[in-house]
Amino acid sequence: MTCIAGHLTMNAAHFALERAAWQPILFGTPNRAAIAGCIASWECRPVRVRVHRNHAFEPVSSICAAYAAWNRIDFDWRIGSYDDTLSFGLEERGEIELIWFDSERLQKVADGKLGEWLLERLRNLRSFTTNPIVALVWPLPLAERERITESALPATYVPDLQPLADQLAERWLDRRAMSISGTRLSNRACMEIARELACCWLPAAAIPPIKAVAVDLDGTLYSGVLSEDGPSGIEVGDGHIALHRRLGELRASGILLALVTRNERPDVEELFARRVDFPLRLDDFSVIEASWGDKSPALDRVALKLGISAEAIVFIDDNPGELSEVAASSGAVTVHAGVDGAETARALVHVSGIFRWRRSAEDELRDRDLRVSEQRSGLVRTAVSTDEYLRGLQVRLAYFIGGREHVARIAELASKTNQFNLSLRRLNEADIARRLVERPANVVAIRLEDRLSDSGIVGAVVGSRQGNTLRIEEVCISCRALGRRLEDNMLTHALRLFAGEQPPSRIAFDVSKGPRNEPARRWLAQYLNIELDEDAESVEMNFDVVRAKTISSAIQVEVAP
Amino acid sequence: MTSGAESLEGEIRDLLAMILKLPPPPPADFVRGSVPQWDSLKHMEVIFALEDRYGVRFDESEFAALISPMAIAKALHNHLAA
Repeated sequence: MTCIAGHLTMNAAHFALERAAWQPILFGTPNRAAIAGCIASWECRPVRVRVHRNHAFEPVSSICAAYAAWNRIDFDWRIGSYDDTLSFGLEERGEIELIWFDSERLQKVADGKLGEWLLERLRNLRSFTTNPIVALVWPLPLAERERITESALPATYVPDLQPLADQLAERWLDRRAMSISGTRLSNRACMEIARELACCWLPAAAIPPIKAVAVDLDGTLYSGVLSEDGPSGIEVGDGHIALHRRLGELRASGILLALVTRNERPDVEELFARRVDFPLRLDDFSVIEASWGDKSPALDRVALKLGISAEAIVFIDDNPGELSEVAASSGAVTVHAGVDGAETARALVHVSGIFRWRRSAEDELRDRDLRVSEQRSGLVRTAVSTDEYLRGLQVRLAYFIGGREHVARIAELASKTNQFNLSLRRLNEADIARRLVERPANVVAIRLEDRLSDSGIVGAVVGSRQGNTLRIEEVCISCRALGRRLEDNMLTHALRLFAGEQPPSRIAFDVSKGPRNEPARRWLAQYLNIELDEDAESVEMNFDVVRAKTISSAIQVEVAP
Repeated sequence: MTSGAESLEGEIRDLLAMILKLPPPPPADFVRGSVPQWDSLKHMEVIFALEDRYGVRFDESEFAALISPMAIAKALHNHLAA
């Protein structure tokens, strides 16, 4: 087996150890000679990137390889010829478009018109492809950059390189390089850009996001052993504080935190109560797993409680043996807590899937939603009927037809590795925006709320009307909304809205079998009352099957225009 | 040449092989013109890697002379001795 695509492997343990060994090289002061020595001995997920450029990209791409491999990615660069006009050679296939552009080489664009010209070029590229576009353009004045970002071109991202330029100051450019390498960016600038590009900007355009960080205590959030040194004997250095703060920032941005520690729960509670100098508080952790058992089962329990796959969790521990065991057993992404906590924090934010181009409203709702999930489970167990349960919870569903404001959230749902993606089509923002242009009703978003919490947009149905057939290309429901006996009600209403006032005679669902989407497949089989073939790519039925379903009167339904 | 210089040349050969992605084992000696991978873009990467490894900074006027492990060792020796 291999260590890609969600399969656990014999070399996952080896990968975790190598990953730990690479960390000081990749996240300390960058050194091209040392980074060049980081050569992956494990299999990585290939991602093909078409590069449209007007200056040398090779000093960046050669460094990207190590950072990408650390994230189990192998970028297959398709680098075009030098082109100041950005005419876009699109002969080769690609998954991501990268624009690598030194705007000072532009001769024919008037001052103050750079943003306008770039926007026109980006629109041109967008008309040919729905691939995510990442544009690295420097120099790019703030006002010009804002002009592009305000245009809200779907799945188009323009990172701001100026903070890196400011940080490196006189080390940002190296005129010596211009004559032979064709770029005026310095070695250090190329390495800093490579790190952000390979770990953050490109993965955020194409890789499912990380949803939680599980962190060890002893030797990770402080120096010392709690059970031996006690709360007052453990030491918190500046590096540990940096790691605490970084974890706090991630939590504020919607990534859930969990504690996985070999300690007694009362000792952990006493530690956080007495150490008021800890920036992190016990309440910041959505799940606390304090036990003397192996860490991989503890991490599995964290995943279960959070309703996510272990592969969407980053696990931080100072013990390479623990990292190795967890990587081999659960598939979680591992980060080694080294002696320097600040370096650990730097490594953490460069795990692919941590950086995201934007946060959704749902990111802020997730923690509260999960904290009340046990209350909901209790109600499910004790309710006499589904209707009584739904009425007791005061469930409200809101449907949004063709709403542009939900495109990013729907793309997020489609890209996640959750259990309820029927076709695993991984539609991005540009794919969804294109369907909206074709017919607004092609995209339906579903918002869920009950008396315990607001779950936000938790579901989406995307498809198209093809003659007398309603083709459903993707159905996604967030894991947080599963287990609430809502799937049939939620989706029946969405499908009827999708059909509109002239219902079709047929309905076809695109399906695909992935490593974790069995719940979605099981739902479809039960909903249509069929046996779903393993290899089936589509299932077609008479639309009467949807018409015949009843929707519970216990649910309040609202349809937004 | 002294054993120290030979050792430096060996280190440089290994570094060049890594940057240029030469199949192992790297040749005992080689010059830029005989290695197709060693084009102008790679030459800049080689220079950057050498500067990072040895903590030196080459002048642009030296670039053209850095064409083999032996030539690089000689240039480095001058920098490190200065």
